[in-house]
Amino acid sequence: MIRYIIRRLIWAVALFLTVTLIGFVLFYLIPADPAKFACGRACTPDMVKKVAHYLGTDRPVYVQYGKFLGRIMPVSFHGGFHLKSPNLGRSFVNRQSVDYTIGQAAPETASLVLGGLVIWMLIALPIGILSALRPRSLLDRVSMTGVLVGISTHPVWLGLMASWLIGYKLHITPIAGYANFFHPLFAQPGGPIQWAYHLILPWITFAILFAAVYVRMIRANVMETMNEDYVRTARAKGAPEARVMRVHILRNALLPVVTMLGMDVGLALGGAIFTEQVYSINGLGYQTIQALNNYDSPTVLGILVFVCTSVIVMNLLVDLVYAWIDPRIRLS
Amino acid sequence: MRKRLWYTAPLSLIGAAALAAALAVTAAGSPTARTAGQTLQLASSATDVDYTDPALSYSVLGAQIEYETCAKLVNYSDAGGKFDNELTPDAATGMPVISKDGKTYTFTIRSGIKFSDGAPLTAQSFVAAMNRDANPSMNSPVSAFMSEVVGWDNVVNKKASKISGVTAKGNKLTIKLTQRDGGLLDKLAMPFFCAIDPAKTPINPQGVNTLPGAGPYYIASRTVGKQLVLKRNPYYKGNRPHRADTIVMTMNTNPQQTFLQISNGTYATDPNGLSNPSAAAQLAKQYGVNKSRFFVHSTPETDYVALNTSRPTFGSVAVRKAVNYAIDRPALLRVRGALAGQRTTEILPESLTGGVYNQHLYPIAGADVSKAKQVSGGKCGNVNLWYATGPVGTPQSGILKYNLQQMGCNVQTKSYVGYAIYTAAGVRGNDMDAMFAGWLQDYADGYDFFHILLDGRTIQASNNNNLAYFNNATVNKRIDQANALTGPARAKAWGNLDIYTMKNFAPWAPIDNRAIRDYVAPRVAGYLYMPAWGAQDLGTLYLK
Repeated sequence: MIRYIIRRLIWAVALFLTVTLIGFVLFYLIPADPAKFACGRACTPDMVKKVAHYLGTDRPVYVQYGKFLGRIMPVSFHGGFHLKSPNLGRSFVNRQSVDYTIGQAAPETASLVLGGLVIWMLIALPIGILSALRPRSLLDRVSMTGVLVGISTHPVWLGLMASWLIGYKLHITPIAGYANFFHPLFAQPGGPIQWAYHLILPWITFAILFAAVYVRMIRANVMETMNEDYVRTARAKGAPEARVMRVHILRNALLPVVTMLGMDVGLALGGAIFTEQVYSINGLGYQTIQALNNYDSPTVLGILVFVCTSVIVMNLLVDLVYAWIDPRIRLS
Repeated sequence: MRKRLWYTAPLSLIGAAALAAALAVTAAGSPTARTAGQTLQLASSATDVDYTDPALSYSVLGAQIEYETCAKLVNYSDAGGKFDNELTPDAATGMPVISKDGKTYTFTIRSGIKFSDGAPLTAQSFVAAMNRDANPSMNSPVSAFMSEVVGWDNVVNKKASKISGVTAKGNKLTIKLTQRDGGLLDKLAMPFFCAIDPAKTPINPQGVNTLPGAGPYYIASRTVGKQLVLKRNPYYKGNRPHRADTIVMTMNTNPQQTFLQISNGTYATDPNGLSNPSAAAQLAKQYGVNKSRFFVHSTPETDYVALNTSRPTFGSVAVRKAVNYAIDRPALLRVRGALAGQRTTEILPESLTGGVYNQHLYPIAGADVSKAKQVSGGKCGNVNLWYATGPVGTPQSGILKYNLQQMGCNVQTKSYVGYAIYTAAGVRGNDMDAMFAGWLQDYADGYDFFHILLDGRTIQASNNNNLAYFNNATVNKRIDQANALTGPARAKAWGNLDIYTMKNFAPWAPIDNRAIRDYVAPRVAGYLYMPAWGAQDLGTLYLK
């Protein structure tokens, strides 16, 4: 197990370096001058040079990358080896700390993704299982039609339609916006109830696509597991159907779901961009779009580092949990 | 007698109450009346303010916020609920005394003005602001405009710690220039020259987010990317409107949702303008224009096609003039949606021309291809047309390509994403023949357009804004001549230079002066447009 973890960590570092290097190079290749953008069009070339020096963009790209890695490492060799706080630099556009930006944005994205995850599983599990138990029934056909619609409908369209109908026309939920759970902004709704109330529509919008995919997957897994020999044996030995379902079918059928959940949380961070845009949630996805439009490479790279780390950690945890759940899996 | 008396007393009371109510209603309708306890909720769609630090803020939204929170030497007045597009004294007792050679400006600062923390505003407040602006650690963009101030560049280049040409003695502030600059007062109205309390506004390259203000409001709090809160300055005694007690601005909202939220009254308005431009025609039909909830005004901004005079095709004046006949201005403007602007054939917005404004130098009703061919002699070569991709740039490039082809040009297009086009086009010797560009005034003076965009002496190896690479000795000389003038003569000189340049050299094909379209919530009143900033006044808004 220890060797497995060490091996995975080494691969994680390699993956991390590759992703950040590619991100860095891509920004370097874009023919835009962040110093000119930050300084303003009226700036003289001398002023732009000064701003470029302040931002650090007048140095060779490998020097910039080296400084970037040095900032995010938790250790420093300047003045002897010592631990330090990693930091992701400052925005080219508003000079704010990228750590601060991510610290503000990440909880909003996490609220959206984790809440959406709960909802998509609450939808997918019962529908997928019931569809598998009653194949080709009316319930099964309706749910498969719903799956098709859910997969086909773009979250942006869905979100705009939902907020217009349910928020604007019917006044059932807020149209858009985010209410902070712990620290509401001045004169803005906040607290747990308002937080959940403002997220109902975003959760549903975000969850529908994943729910559709998971309904299909759970249905297929359960149907396949129901035909296994050990299930037939369990029934033949007189086990109650509830026990057969719980111990033999679901436990095995849902193992792949665990793996998928770990991977999909990473993907979900990307998918959250659409939902965040529609509902004015200033999460990581929204910040990424803004930073890209403004050629703000520290913010984009900072978010890339954060997301990359999160995905790597999630996948590692999933693998460990999977090995723990399924005794057949040996990490060596 | 007694019988009459007993019912006259209550009647008198009722009458007095009615009179008081009438007076109160009248007072509430007064542009300067306060609506006590009101919190105005605004939404800034798709953007945050760049900075709230006056040394760094360089955006329209920043200008709107600083206008509410700043006291400047001179400013545009909105007293009485009417916007005055002429500069008037603000923290100064009067307009400055200018020396005969035009190089020394002396202001007398009014006494009794206080910042929102109770600190007094003095001449030193402005000295501190300018020194802070010039401080190299701040990297303030204002230094691009102030090199005529004695000693400014020495501070920027770290040769001095203070600007030697800006001094305060008692309540007198003196600014010395190296040469005449008739646009200095317009520059001093920019947010960069907001008075500051130096004790509370330190040098900080990241900018300060909250600071005491001497205007009707001050910045009470800022959560970057999320919210800005302005509160009424308790020490403000001036006559500028400040209807709401608190203004809360939520940042980075979705544009389409913001439109719905303004419609249902969640937000009062979007200070950046109509967040959903495609709704402009419907709003105009429903509410009329400039009547109740939908407002359209021209801004001091020009959209144009820069014609690279250093390249073979548009090195010919005749061909450049021909382009001005060939382009379809109505079609190009329609791409921006209903009521998006006013077609133009001039460089400057009308407000900067001193009344010398002629929309009809070239056709504005549509393309005149036959006239274009006549002017060019049927000759046009290869044209590399650059544009920035997007909902406006892409269709406009198609229209212009068609227009140029009709004229006989062989057109290739090249697209860029966002700001990258300016970086590429700013490199001297690039292969761009024509590109779409725009310029919004930094301050209300023609020099801001001509010197930055058409003065050939500013052309460098890179980072050029003169995208036409236009360099004409006569025009350069007339720029200097106009810049030495002041008052109405100055504005007229810019207007005349505009006509002269477009008639004789046509380095651009101007398309339009952009309009701002504002939409307010049902209960909102007090809308006031500020031509100087091309945006609405936040201090006059209130809820009915």
